[in-house]
Amino acid sequence: MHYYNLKIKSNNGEYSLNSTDKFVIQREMDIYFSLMYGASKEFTDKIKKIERKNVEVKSIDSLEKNIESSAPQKSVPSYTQPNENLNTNDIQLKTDNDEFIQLSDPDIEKEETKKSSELGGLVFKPVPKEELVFQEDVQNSPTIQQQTLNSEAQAPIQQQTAPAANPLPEIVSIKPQQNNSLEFQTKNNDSQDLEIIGIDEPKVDTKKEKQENLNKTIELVQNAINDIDIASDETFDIDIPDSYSNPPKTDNVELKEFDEEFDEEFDVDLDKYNSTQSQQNNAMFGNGYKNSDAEFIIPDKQEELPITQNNSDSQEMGSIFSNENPFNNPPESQNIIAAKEYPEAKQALNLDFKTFLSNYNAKGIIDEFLICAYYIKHISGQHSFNMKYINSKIFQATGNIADSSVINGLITGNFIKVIEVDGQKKYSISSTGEEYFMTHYQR
Amino acid sequence: MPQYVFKMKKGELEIEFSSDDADFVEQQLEKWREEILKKQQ
Repeated sequence: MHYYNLKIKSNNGEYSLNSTDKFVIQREMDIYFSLMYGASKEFTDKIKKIERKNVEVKSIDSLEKNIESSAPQKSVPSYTQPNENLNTNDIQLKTDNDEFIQLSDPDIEKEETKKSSELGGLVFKPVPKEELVFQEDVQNSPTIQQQTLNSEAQAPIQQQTAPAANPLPEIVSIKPQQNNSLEFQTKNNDSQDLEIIGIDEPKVDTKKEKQENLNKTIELVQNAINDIDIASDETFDIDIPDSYSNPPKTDNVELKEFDEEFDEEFDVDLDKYNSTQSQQNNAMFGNGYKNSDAEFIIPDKQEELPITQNNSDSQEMGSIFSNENPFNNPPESQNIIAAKEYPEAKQALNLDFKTFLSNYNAKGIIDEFLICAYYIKHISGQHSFNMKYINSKIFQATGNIADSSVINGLITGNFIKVIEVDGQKKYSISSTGEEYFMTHYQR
Repeated sequence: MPQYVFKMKKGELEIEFSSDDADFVEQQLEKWREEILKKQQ
């Protein structure tokens, strides 16, 4: 709740207007401003529009005339007790200090009463009693506070001797309402709402408002984007057996290579995955290929934890968990093996799968799977792989994960063959797959 | 709570406006300033 105070000083005194309603103060200030500095026609017209039912504002010309040529000779007197002998056209206002101010209609006021001009030209027309519709239970909370500041304001009550021919209800306060109306409160706590037409609305800082609206819009859009991200960031993890997190202790064996390959969680963008999966399946296996739900083949624990094997495709993992000290008899580098067996791999010795893949034209997970299968066989030098191993390669390179539908489709198309290594089901790229790789993915 | 006081005086008439509503004071002064500029033009 803000407060607003306006003091008006002239040669003949001063008065202040206190209010918690800025419209009241704004109206008064605009009027006096126009008197002091003159005003543009637009401004003057705006003030002239301040018209009220039963309450009028004098024209600017007449206000200027009042100020310049007929300055008020008396300030508005205040009284400590209500004047019970009001004239017909007198209006009495009650202040917050429990004082009473008496106003008169200038149209019929006598020469010695020019109090209305001291209120910035606000003229309160009397309302015949029969036209008033009283309301009950109106709170006695006047928001307009007027008090005179000069010594004359402290004068005792001026008795009005003339009897009221058409007595008005005693108005003790005027309370502006939000619906552009004034509530006149009478002594008997009755009130009458009087409509105000064309009251000047406060200016709105359009730039500030636009900026706030823009910020709100940006915030809404950002929230919407965040919501989308949250929805699409649906992830699922590949369970890593506890034994991977706590592998058997082996002396002088580093788990670094193992960690890089397997000990991680895969966050999969399902939306991206699903959108490309059907396209790839249709492209690879023809339209109508039914893509099963995303499913991971979690290898059995035995498959995940291969014991020391002599098979060349398990050298990597086998060397990690082998009870034999690999440093006493270090295995030959897989890349060197691949380079020996496949001359073309010599040129790609130092290529990781991501770099290797970038040299080929892969359009989706199926292409990536087949290229990776070729990479595993000819670059990594492993003749077979399981799903988890190839997915770790693909995911590190592209962020995609192949599910069972991919491998099943490739097996059906004879691009991937199933081999059994020590009773375990593994996969390897077939000659058809290699031929397809050589003919379709070259740039 | 800050208080803003603005005085205008011309001739015998003087207006002193005070409030703690910074936005309203800013709006009112801006409105007056524009009017004075229009008057000068």
